[in-house]
Amino acid sequence: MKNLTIKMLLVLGGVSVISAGFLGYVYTATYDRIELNREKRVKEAIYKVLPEIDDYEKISAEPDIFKGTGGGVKSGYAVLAGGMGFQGEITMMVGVNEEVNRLMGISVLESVETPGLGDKIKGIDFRKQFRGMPILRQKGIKVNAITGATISSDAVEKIIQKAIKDVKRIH
Amino acid sequence: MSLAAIFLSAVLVNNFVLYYFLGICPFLGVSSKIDSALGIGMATTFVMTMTVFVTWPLYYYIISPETGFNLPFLEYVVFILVIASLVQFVEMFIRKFFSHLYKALGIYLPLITTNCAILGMALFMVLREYSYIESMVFGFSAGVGFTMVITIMAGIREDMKYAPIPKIFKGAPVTLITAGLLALAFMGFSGILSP
Amino acid sequence: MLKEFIKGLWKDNPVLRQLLGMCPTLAVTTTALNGMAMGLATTFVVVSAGIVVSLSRKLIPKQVRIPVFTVIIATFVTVVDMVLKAYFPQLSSALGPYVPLIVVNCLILGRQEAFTSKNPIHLAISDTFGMGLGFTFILIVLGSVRELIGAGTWFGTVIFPTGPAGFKPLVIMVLPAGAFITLGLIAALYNLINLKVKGEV
Repeated sequence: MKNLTIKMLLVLGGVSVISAGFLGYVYTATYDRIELNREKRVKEAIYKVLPEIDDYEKISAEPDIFKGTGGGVKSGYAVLAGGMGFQGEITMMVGVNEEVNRLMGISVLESVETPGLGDKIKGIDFRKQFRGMPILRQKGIKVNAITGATISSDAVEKIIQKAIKDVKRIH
Repeated sequence: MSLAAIFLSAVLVNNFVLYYFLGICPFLGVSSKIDSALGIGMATTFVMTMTVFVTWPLYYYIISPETGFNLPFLEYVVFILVIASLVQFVEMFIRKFFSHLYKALGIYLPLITTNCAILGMALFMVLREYSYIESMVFGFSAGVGFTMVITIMAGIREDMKYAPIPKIFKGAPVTLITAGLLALAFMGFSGILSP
Repeated sequence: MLKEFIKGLWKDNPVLRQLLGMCPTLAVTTTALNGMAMGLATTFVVVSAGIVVSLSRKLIPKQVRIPVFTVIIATFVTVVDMVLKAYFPQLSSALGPYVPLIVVNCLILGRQEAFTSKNPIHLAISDTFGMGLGFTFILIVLGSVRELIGAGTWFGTVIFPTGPAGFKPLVIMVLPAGAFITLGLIAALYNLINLKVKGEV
């Protein structure tokens, strides 16, 4: 009986240690690429919401705000903003023009919204409404919600409002 | 989110079985008798609540990149190990004190380990950044929601035994379609929590 | 050996026959592509875990086999998760929170318990590979039906153009209720074909 217990513990412990070691190895092996992918996606998202800029610089952290350079009148700010959606965290890039009175566009980086409903926030039909949307002094912006996905749409509105506030603070 | 909202959401609006498809295997496998459905439901609820009790501190003090030692790659292994051990414990407990229940549940007890609902619940808990108390309520209500739906299903299936079902629909097909209709009915609850 | 491989594809199909691995089957199959990706990821995990379990089957005491199997499975799932994130970021974000749920796919644990822990490695490989492919096949079928009717596309290509006068997607198909009902109908079709072959209908 006692021998069996010891054997059981040894096997279970051994398997766990081997597994942890193996995973640690794979983690370090893939870590750089995963980070690189993340940076690449942030970069792509910035150019997506500020399409006419030549380059950008990070001007603030937490939240990360980037200022586009070049591109003259069409330059602006890109904010990496996040908030709670229907299923989990939504992370997106919000583009605002230099005068902070119009949105330039949004791009969703990460979301786990319901496929077919809430995840339409990633789709062009939903996103195109933000291109050039005026930012009102009092109310900020108003989102046209997706049918059947009011909570996801409201979440997007909230995230954008917060992003606008963050830009105004440093503008 | 208030505790009441978490409870209502996990039990009715975003029911684990009918909305997230978690815990389907026991849902389809065990739910032909009300007694065994209630039994597996209660065992699952207990394991879920215990899982939160153990995994929450483990995640936030050891695994988490922000407050722990940054070991995200161990998340799944640690969670599943905790769940498997808890299930083993519940199995021994039921075998000792409720032997008739043990006979009825048969092979499905070890399969609670692979009840996706439990691991899914632990992962959602982390994803939604619930506090310790919120997580406890969440785990418990996910279990209650699971028990409720699996018992309803068992009730329907007990009656369905006497229904003239076309031969090709017997077994899995009719169960799945019934589950689909149940899911449709539960969509009616989605209005409860809209802002 | 071939027999072990073939049985998973049709006769003992894990989804239709054994009702295993239902959560991912129903959850990710909103599109054909997601179904295929989930199927292949699951195949990789079930085969790798099958190899390890079969090789170490004599070392594992019976009492702790379930925790040991799940740890082995969880390890391979974490590997899949990291590799997807590193090399296929788009796919990784589409499958999202369902990748970790491969751990609790009863199909995988079920095969270890019922087959690979009792059989030598070559049989273990052919059995798990057949089960994996049988699983993938159903996921693609289910994903295709739901994508076609729910969105009018197939593998992302527009088949039925939507528009004011065009095809109206049936949103229910991408919702949970549609998943259950579609799979129920596919299972009925499977029964029908089997009975037809036996000449009973």
